[in-house]
Amino acid sequence: MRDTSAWSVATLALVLILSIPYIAFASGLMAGTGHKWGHLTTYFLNKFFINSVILIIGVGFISCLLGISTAWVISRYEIPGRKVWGILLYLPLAIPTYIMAYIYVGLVGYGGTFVKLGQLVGTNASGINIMNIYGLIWVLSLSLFPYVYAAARASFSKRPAALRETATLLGASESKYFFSIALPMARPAVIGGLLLVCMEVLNDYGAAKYFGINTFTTGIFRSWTALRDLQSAVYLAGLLIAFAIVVTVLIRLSRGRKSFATASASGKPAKRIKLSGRKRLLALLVVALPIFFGLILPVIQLFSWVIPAFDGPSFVKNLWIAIQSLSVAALAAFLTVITAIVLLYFSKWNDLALIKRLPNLSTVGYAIPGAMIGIALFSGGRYFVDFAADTFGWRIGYLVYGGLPILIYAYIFRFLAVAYYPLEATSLRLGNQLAEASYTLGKSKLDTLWQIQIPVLKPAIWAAVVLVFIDTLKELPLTLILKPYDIDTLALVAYNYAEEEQMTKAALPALMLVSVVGLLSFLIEWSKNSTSKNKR
Amino acid sequence: MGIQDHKKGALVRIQDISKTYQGRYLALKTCSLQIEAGKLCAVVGHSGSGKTTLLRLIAGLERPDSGTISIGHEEMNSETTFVDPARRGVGMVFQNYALFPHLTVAKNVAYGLKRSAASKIDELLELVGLSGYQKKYPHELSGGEQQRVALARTLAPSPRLLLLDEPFSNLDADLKSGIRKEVRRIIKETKLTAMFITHDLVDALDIADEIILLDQGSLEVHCQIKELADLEGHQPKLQASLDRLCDRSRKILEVVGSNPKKTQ
Repeated sequence: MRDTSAWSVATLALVLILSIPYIAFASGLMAGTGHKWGHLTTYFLNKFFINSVILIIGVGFISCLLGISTAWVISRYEIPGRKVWGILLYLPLAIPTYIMAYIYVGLVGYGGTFVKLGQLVGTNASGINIMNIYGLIWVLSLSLFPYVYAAARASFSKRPAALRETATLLGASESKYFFSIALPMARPAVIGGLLLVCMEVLNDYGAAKYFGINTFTTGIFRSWTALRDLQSAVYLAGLLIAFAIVVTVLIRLSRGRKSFATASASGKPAKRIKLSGRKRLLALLVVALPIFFGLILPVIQLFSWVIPAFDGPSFVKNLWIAIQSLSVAALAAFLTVITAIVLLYFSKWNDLALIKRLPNLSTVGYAIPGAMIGIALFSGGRYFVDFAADTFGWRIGYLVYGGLPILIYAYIFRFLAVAYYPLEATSLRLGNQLAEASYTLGKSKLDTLWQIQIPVLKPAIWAAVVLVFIDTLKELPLTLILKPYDIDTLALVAYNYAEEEQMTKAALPALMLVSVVGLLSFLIEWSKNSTSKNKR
Repeated sequence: MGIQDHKKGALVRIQDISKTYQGRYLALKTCSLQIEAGKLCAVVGHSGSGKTTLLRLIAGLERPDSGTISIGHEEMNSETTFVDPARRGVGMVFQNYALFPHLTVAKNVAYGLKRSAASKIDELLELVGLSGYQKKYPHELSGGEQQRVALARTLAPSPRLLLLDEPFSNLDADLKSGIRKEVRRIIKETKLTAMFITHDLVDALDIADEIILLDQGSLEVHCQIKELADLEGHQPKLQASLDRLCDRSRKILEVVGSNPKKTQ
C-alpha cells in the first residue's frame, strides 16, 4: 500500500509541475483585460477570427487533397522509385512554415527568381504578389500536408487484401472502392492528421507575420510588443485556446458514430497494382508535384541564396548558432523524453484510477499554441517572481525572464505529447509480462524500469528523442518569447534576418535547419521502412 | 468441495479469496484451498474460469477484493497487509515465457540472483538440459528451449512456490510429452511446490499430483489425480476434453457430496 501512495503522490507532483502554465495563465486572466483591449476588439478581433477560419478551411482542404492523393498512390500502386517517393513525401515537414513563406516570396515575388529567369528568356513578367491570405494558405499547405499524408498512408497500408478482394467480387470499381471503402475507413486517421495541421496553422507566427495576415497568434505578439499591453495578449491567448478547442471538437464530431474498426489490420496486406502508360505517368505526377513544390524548389531557392553570398566568417558564425541551437534542442529532447518515461510509469504504478488519467492533462500542451504558453509563463511568471521576492527574499527573475531553464521547461510542456504517446503505444504493445517476470524474480519497480523496460523500449525512446529534437529545432513563437538573452537558435536567426528582408543572410541558417531536420526525418522514415520490411 | 480440510503440511493457504475486475467482472468468488508442500498441482477450467487470476493473486501481481493468502507461515495479503511480488518467494513462468529479449540466456537466468555466480547458472542450465546455451539470445532459441530458460530463470532465486501459466500451450504436440515429463522431473528433483495452469486434461493427468477445477470463478473440484481416476473407474484418460471433464466433475461433486470420505 505504501508503494501505491508514493507513486500516486509522485505522479500528482509531476503533473502539478507540468500544470504551471495553466495556473500562470489563469492568474493572468484574473488580473483583467489590458488598456488596449477595447482597441483590439473594435478593430482586430473579427479579422483574427475570420482569417483564422479561412486559413483552417483552406489549408485543411489543400492538405487533405495532397496528403490523401499521395498516400493513396504510394500505398496502392507500384510506381518506379515508390520507396524513395514515399520517404520524400514526409520531408516538406522539415521546412518550417515561416521559411517556406520567405522562399516562395523569393521565388515568385517581385524581382524573385522566376522573374529573373523569365528576363533571361526575354519575358517581362513582374512576379506575383503572394503576400496575401491565399499565398499563406499555399505555403502552409505545402509545409503541413505531410501530417495528413502520414496518417492516411498508415491507414491505407494496413487494409488487408481480403477487403479489396471482397469489393472486387461485389463488382466495385477502383474509384468506388476508394470513395466508399478505403477513404471512409481512413477517416479517423485523416482527421487525426488534419487536427495536427489545424493546430500548426493556429500556432504559426512567422509566416502570417511576414505575409501581414492578422491571426490570433500575430495579434498576441502585436498586443504585447507594439501595443505594450501584456494583459490583452493574455486575453487573446485565452481566445486562441478557446478557438483551438472549438476547432478540435468540430473536427472530432465530424468523425461521427460509425465504427471503423471492423476490418482490422490483421491479414495479408493488399498487393500493389502495377501501373503502365498514362496511368503510371499520372500517378508519378501526383506524388512528384507536391515533392517538387514542397521540397525540391524550396531547397534549390535556399541554395541559390546561400551560394553567391557564402563567406567563411558568416558560415562560422552560423555554425556557432547551429551548435547552440542543436544543444538546446538536444537538452530539451532528452529532458522531455525522461519526463515522458517518468510520467508514463509513475502513473501506471499507482493504483488510483483518477491519477492514472492525469498524464492526459499534461500532454495537451501540444494542442496549445506556443505563443500562449510563452505568454502564460511570461505573464504568470511575474507573480512567482514577486511572490518569491516578497515571501522568501529570493531573486528568481533571471529564471523566468531570459533564462534557459524556463525555455527548456516550456519545450517540455509543449512537446511532451510527442514523446509520451509513441512511448505509451510501444509500452502497451510490449505488455506487462516482462515487468511482472522481473517483479516475481525479486526486483523492485525502479530496478525493473532501469534494467528491463528502458532497454527494451530503447528504439522507441531514441525515436521519441529525435521527434522532440526536430520539433524543438523548428519551434519559433515560444522561443521568440522566452529565449535567453545570450543564446540564439537557427530558427530565430533565420526569422530575424527574413523579417528585415535580408534573405541571403536568412538563407544559410534556414538551410542548416532544413538540412538537419530533413536528414533526421529521412533517417526516421528509412528506419521505419526497414523495420517493417524485417518484420515481414 | 473436494479437498478443503486443514492440511498440516500446507504451503499455500487461500481463504475466501474474491476478485472482480473493474468492479464488474467477477473472476474469482470466495475461493478457499490449500496446497501441500512438495505437491505438483494442475489448475484446469474453461477460459475465463479464473485460473490465471488465481495464480496472479498468489504471485501478488493482482490484489484480491477480499480474503487472505498465506505462503508458509507468512500472510501475503489480507485487509491490512500486502507483500510485494518481489518479496513473496514465488517464481512464475509466464505463458509466453517473458524472456528478456536484450539479455543472453545466462543473463536471463542470473537476473533474479542477488550475486551472479557462473557455477549456479551452469548448474541450472544443466538441470534444464541447456548446457552451452549461455551466450545465446532468446530469439535464437526454439519454443521448447525458451520454456526451459524461463524455468531455469524462475528456479534461480530458489522460490518456495513455482507457478506456471499454461507452460505447455505453445509447444508442438511432439515436444509436449517429453517436456511435460522433464518439468515434473525438475520440480521433483528440486523438491518444489508447484501449480500449473493447463487447458489440456492430459497434461494434468500425466504429471500432476493434484487437480483443481475452476468454473466461472468458483472452485468446483480439488482432489488428487489418483482419486479422480478411482472415482471414475480409470475413464478420464479416454475423455481428455475439458468440456467433458466439467460435466464429469459435477457428477463427481454429487458423489463427493453424498460420500465425502471417499476423496480424503
